[in-house]
Amino acid sequence: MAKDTGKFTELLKPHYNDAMRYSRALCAGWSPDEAEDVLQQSFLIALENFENLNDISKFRSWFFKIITTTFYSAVRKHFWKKFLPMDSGVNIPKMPQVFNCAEQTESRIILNQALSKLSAKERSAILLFEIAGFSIEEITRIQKEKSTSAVKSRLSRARAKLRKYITEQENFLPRNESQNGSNGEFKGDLENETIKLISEIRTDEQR
Amino acid sequence: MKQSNLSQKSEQMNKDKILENHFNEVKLEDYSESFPAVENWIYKTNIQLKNKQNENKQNERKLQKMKNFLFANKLRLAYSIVTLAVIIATCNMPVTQTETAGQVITLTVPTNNTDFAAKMSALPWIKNAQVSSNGNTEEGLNQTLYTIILPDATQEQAVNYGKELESLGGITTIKITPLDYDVKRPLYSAALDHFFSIKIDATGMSDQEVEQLVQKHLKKHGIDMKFHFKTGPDGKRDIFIEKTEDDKLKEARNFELNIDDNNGKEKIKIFTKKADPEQLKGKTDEEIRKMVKQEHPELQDKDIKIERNGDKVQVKVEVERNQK
Repeated sequence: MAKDTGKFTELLKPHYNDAMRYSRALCAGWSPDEAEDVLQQSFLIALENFENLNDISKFRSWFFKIITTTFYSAVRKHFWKKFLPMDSGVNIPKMPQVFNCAEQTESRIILNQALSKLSAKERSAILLFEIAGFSIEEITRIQKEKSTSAVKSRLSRARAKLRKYITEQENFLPRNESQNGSNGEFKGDLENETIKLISEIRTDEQR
Repeated sequence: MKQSNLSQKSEQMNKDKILENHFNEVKLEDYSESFPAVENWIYKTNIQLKNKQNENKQNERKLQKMKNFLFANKLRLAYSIVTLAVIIATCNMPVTQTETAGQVITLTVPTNNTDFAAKMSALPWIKNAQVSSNGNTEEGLNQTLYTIILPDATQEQAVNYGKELESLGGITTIKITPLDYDVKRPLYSAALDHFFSIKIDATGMSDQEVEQLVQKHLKKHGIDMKFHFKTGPDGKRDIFIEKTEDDKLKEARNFELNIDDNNGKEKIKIFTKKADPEQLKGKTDEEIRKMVKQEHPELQDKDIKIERNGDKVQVKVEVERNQK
């Protein structure tokens, strides 16, 4: 529980966008509601432990570490969560919708699909590096690894998998970038649709 | 055909660029619009967490105190365990209690009084008694000794039966003795024996029905105390406890009466004490009040009513409670 909520939100504000992007990408393949559950749980843990944060300059890595560990436990609970609701022990109001309004592009959908093929640790490592901009040393601490080499090889493996999957998808899609631009936008809830279905929809739209 | 190193490198760079483009797009996502709502939620949530933590702290403090006390050193822990064991052992220690199973009337009648046996047999209550007779000679006179065992009879009933027997005439001696027996039971059971609880759901019952039900429960436990219920215009039921003039306590009994009435609950605890009349002899009202208040400090002077009738002194305690 944070004694000074004002201080907490003040520290959070500059890192808010990165934290949201990281959370959403981390929960790739999950519904926005499920991703918000992870985020809500992360906020609760952060609020409860904010008093124990002695060095406020480490707020960013501290908060991302909380999101990461919450995500790990959510992955473990993901199967059982279908049957049992996540109970924080108190009647906490549901956090406002953050991810539902996020616009889904074709590129984002492909990346989500690719990310969902990675293991939780690989996904977290690549996103901490690419999206949140953490150094390998920082990721080592966030992921509670003993050496940087573990993170380096994890990043390498994650990149290789992503490249492979994305290339396959790029080759598969009948894209016409000159007509639609590189970021052909899809509106609506298309995240859980297959890539094949998207391409069919695009073809129909062009006709 | 095998690709050249340059071509492979170029392909790799191309793939990296594609991947970078995907990540760059994620980096362009803007969630800042949702920050005020999330900030507001954080404030609200933190208040709730604070309340929860205060509750937890209070519980923890109580537990911590107990932990500190018990686990401060091994000797104290050992003493606590031994004390607990002693308490349990003491509660289960068997104690002997004397209980009255009934009354025995023994009377002697001259043997030549042949009518007595017939007159006695005509008494209605004698059918429930066990009667035995023996011939006896006392001071040169032939006497018949009758032993009448009255199971479950109270001393009061036995005295009344004795009076009826005396009215038949011709009795030389009559004696009433209680039929006692010893019971062994654990200490806790002995302590609870003089205290019992009655639970009544009076919802939808009339005043008379509640009165009858209470009376029935009390009689089952050998208590003759009259309760009177009266429903006021506001729908609230007043409870009056009446003490009859001939109400003599056979033994001290304590009980509680729990009445549920249209979602309202009333708990009455009644303690009765068999007083020694000699104890009150020669005492002034003030001294008697002091005696009563020593045992019940919650009572006020106005609650203790003392009635004097010659040498007889009767002490009544009347407490009026207003229901909130």
